[in-house]
Amino acid sequence: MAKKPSKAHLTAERIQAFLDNSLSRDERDEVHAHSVFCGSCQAEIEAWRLLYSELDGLPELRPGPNFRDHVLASLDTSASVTARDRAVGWLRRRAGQAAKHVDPERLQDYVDGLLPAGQMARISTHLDGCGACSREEEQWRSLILGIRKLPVMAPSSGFNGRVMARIHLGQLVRPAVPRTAGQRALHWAGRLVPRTQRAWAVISGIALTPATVMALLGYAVFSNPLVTPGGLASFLWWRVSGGATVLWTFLANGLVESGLLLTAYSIWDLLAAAPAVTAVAAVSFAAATSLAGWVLYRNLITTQTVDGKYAGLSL
Amino acid sequence: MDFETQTDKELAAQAAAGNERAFAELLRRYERPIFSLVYRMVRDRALAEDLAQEAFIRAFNAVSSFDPRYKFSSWIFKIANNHAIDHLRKRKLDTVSIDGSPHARTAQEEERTRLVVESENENPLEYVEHRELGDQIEHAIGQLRPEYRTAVLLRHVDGYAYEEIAGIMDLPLGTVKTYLHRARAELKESLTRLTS
Repeated sequence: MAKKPSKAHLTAERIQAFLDNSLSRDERDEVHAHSVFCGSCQAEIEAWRLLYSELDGLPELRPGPNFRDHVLASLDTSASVTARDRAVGWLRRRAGQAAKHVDPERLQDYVDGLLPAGQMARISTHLDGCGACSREEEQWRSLILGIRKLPVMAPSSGFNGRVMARIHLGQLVRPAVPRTAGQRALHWAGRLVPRTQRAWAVISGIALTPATVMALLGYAVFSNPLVTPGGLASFLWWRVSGGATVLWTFLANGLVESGLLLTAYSIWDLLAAAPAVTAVAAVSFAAATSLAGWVLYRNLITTQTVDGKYAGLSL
Repeated sequence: MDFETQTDKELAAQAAAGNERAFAELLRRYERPIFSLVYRMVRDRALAEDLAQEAFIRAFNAVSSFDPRYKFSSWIFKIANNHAIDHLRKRKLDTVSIDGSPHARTAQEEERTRLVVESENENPLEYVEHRELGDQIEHAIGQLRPEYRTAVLLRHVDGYAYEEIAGIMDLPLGTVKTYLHRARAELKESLTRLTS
């Protein structure tokens, strides 16, 4: 039975062992099976294979006669970099170049330090091997640094005094929060009172304009000697009562003709004949009215204005 | 009582009780950051002073409604920013200079309106170099939309976290991120154009 391919990615050591032909037959089959389904390991194997072929193709050079002595004399074992480290670095750089460039927004977030540690590390690895992204990262970094270095500016010397002179220390005590409906109504009415000169000017304008117009109109009407206050009142009463009579007649006729009165009478007759139905109808009506009143109360009276998330005050 | 060692919230509570010295200390702490933000929003010194002054007066006269669950700095920055943005919506300004008001008609007037710039840790040469780059950045920031300008200044000049900027600007976090990405992209493009 064919062995199921492992889901774990191949390590660099295993790939090298695979290319060195130092794996057993089963292990080779396993690497084969995994690489068929795993694109990244396949790419990794190809990159290692390329390195191997490049290393194999290097010409053999002969050092000078004292080469070995020089090397041994200057050898610093603590800082030595193995061929394998160099190969891994070379591979990483190649992988970085081959990978997709980091998009500008992620690069900004990287520079701003906003990404999770894993993503920061991945981008950092990419930047090590990608000149274009590295240059762009430098540009973002210098831009942000430039903004951070913008100078702090100071207002003129009299600024503090001007501000302090206009703080009304006596009016700072927080007003009591209105609890009852009456207090809320008073509080709401109090908010309508203008607080600035400009607001008073606007309110005065709004109030005075219609009053002035009405006064001028009154003067124009009563300056005519044929018009007296009593005569004008009689004329107005005659017009209003005539209009009201016409309106009432129209409504009453409409009501009678529509059959609504007849329907209402039939319903009343039915309810009066069955007390239980009357009781149910009355309770339903009372419940519906109460519910409507409660909804209005909650939405129009008790709901507070939502202020900003931070300030709790909109100015 | 030593006001300098007290936190903003403690000072705000005392200011709400009518303590004048608490106001003075809060004003001392925030006059420069607030003025800098407002100036960079409106690009006019005299106007920036008026707007910053008005913002402080509004905030201080309403300090009793400050909710101590939030940061005082966020609260006052929000008021100042809203005030500046309101002004910009009413009147479009695009003047750019820290060398004095662009509306100055005489050298004396320009000198009088020149900005006071702090440069405590720089020698004169560094100051000049930063000034050149700073001028270019100031110019580029001046070309941004007001909302982008606020986001960039709050993030990189005042050092606010994204969540705090969202609170100050009354915007969702995602919008703030988008604003900052776009603002920085525009700044980078402007600076590339200016330096090439």
